[in-house]
Amino acid sequence: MNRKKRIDKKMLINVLSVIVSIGLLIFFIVTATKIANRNKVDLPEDITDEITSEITLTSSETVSEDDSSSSEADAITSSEADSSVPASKAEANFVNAPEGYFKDALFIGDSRTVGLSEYGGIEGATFFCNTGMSVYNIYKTEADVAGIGKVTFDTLMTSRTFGKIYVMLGINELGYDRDQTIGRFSELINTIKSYQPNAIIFIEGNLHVTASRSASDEIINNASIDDFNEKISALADNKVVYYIDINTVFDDETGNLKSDMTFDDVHILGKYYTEWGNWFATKAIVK
Amino acid sequence: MVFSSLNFIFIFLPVFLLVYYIVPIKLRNLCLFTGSVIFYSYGVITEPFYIVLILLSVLINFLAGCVIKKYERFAKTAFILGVIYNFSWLFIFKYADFFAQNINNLIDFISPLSKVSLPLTNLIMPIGISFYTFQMVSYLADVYRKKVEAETSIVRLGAYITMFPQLIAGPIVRFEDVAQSLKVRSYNLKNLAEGAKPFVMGLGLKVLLANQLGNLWQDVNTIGFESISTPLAWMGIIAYSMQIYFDFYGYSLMAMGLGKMLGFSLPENFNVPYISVTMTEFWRRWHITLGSWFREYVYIPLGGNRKGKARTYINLFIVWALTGLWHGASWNFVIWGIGLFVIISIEKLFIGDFFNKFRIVGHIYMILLIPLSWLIFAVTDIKQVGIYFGRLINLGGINVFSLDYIKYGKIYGVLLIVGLVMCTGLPIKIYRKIKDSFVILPVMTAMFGASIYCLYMGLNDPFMYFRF
Repeated sequence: MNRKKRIDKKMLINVLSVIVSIGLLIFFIVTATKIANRNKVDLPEDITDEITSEITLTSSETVSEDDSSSSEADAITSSEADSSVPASKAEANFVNAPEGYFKDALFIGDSRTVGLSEYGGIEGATFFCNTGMSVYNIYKTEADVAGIGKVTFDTLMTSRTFGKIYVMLGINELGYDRDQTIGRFSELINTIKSYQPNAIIFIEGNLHVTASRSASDEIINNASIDDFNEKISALADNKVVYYIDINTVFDDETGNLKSDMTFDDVHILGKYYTEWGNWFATKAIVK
Repeated sequence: MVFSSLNFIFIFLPVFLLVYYIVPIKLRNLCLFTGSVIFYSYGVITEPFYIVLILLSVLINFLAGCVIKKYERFAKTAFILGVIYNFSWLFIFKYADFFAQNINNLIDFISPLSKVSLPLTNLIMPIGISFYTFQMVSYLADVYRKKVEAETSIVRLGAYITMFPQLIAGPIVRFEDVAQSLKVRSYNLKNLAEGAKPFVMGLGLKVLLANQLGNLWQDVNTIGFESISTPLAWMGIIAYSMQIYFDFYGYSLMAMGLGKMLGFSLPENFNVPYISVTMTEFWRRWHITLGSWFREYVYIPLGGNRKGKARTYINLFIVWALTGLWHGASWNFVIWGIGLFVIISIEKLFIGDFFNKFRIVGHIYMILLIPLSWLIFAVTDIKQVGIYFGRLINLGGINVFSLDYIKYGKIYGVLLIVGLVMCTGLPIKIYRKIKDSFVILPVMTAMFGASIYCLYMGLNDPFMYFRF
């Protein structure tokens, strides 16, 4: 009787094992097919849902997938992005920030802004940021905002009033169609304006990468970053929207991020974020 | 080509196994030799000379072996020349710049105005050179001291040296381990199934654990050692300890599995090293084939422990300094190796027996010592090592984000716990119980599927022992 029970138990385990294995196999095949199909969609906003390899702290490549309209087709001019504006715009009158200036400031951005929130020492500011944020996924993102909790962009915009809003986005989008991305960026600025009509908006030029990263990466390189920065700087009117560029602080003589300021060629070391934080205080606008 | 890549798993391996099956048995070694060279070529495609190099080495070692066997008078000369040949390439590619830089520093120190300096080669190391050099030297040594018969077929020797399961990162296979199998072995479904198990397990360890935990170490580096909190500093070095273990152990398991599939029995390289109670025990369980190579071909020929106490410690010092240097051409590796010598000597002289007796204390001792010893191994800049040590005991610290360990704890907590469990002897006990039953099927399917998923999503795969 006992022997029969043991044989039955063993048979049961064997059959169960095989069933679970087949089930797992089917699960994996289905998942693989789903992923393969999703990657065939052209519009970037659908792809960004699946992208797990944006600029994370491990600086993996930005996924540009099956984009037929690659940004490489765009003229990539390596003009230096700086805060000079065309003659038709008024001069930007940056001043040193007074006490408590950042209490009503909001910083929006990707992993570099995350770094600023953790290491930048910007007293009182609010941060809406996460690794991988882009102009394509910002409305769907839920980010942890200190003092509020996990919120979407729209909720944050409607629940608080900000005096100044900083935006640094772009590096995660370098692989997508440049015009489309700039269009989205412009839309974002207008959306912010409509939510926060009294806020001053600062468009931040994207931080450069090091020379070695720039030389070895077809998508994430400083020529492309400069081109992107130039295009978003054109959105500044120096009345409501300003453009500021940190690269003058962290660049070496060749216009690349100083290699001893970073480990992964993309993010500056924690200890340098205070310099960045202090730099914001020299680019204040007081009306 | 890395084992843990889609190219290898879905293209090279199936094609190779098929061709291997189709060719007549007599040509299997040639097939293995050729296939392995193709495998190697894929990895050194930017430096085609390295393919020539390894083929040349097969030829030279084959000839040296033949001379040693046939001409008693020239045996010693042939042996010495062969060893010099093998080590010369290793020196040129791996140590020449280190040597030159140190000479240059010395010259600068003695006469700062001197313009004399040795040029640097800046050569990229051929992949696997540290492993196959040791392998070839062991072959010559074993032929010379008549432990094995010199191989009479250059194809068989070529297959032994280049066989792709162990070419890139070991285990360091002695000729005697495979001499018989080179002549007669079976290739059948049973071996394929048997070999697939460690292969899939190793793949899982590498892709699901090592690569992911490696991300935490990367994050710590990206922040910069000055700016990490003390808890994060400990998390970081523990993550590194687990990464290096699962990475290398995983790879060794895959090598064993592949060898088994082809009909070879490759040696174990790891035996649950993290449950050791002394550093002495640890190095009998970690990278076993390297330790036994140094014992067999350096320690024992130097006299081992048979020439008095003082000489024993000199011999140990030489072995450990060389072991450190084998791992990398940089002073931190030498310091690491000598540090291990100091620890092992102290254990031998004073505290080893105590830890062996009171194993719980031994475990605590090793749980602290293992990550700390890996720190010196992981960080090449001595100054940075100092900074990190400081952070481990909450000294120093510039612009620390004090809640960083909570953030990374949330991201990596589960992985760290799983990793800790996998470091114990428990998983292998369970594996041995289930590996011959049907239960292994869903486990393998899950591991394989999850690994392929991770590989496909392009998550990091830094193969750590590649720079050897």
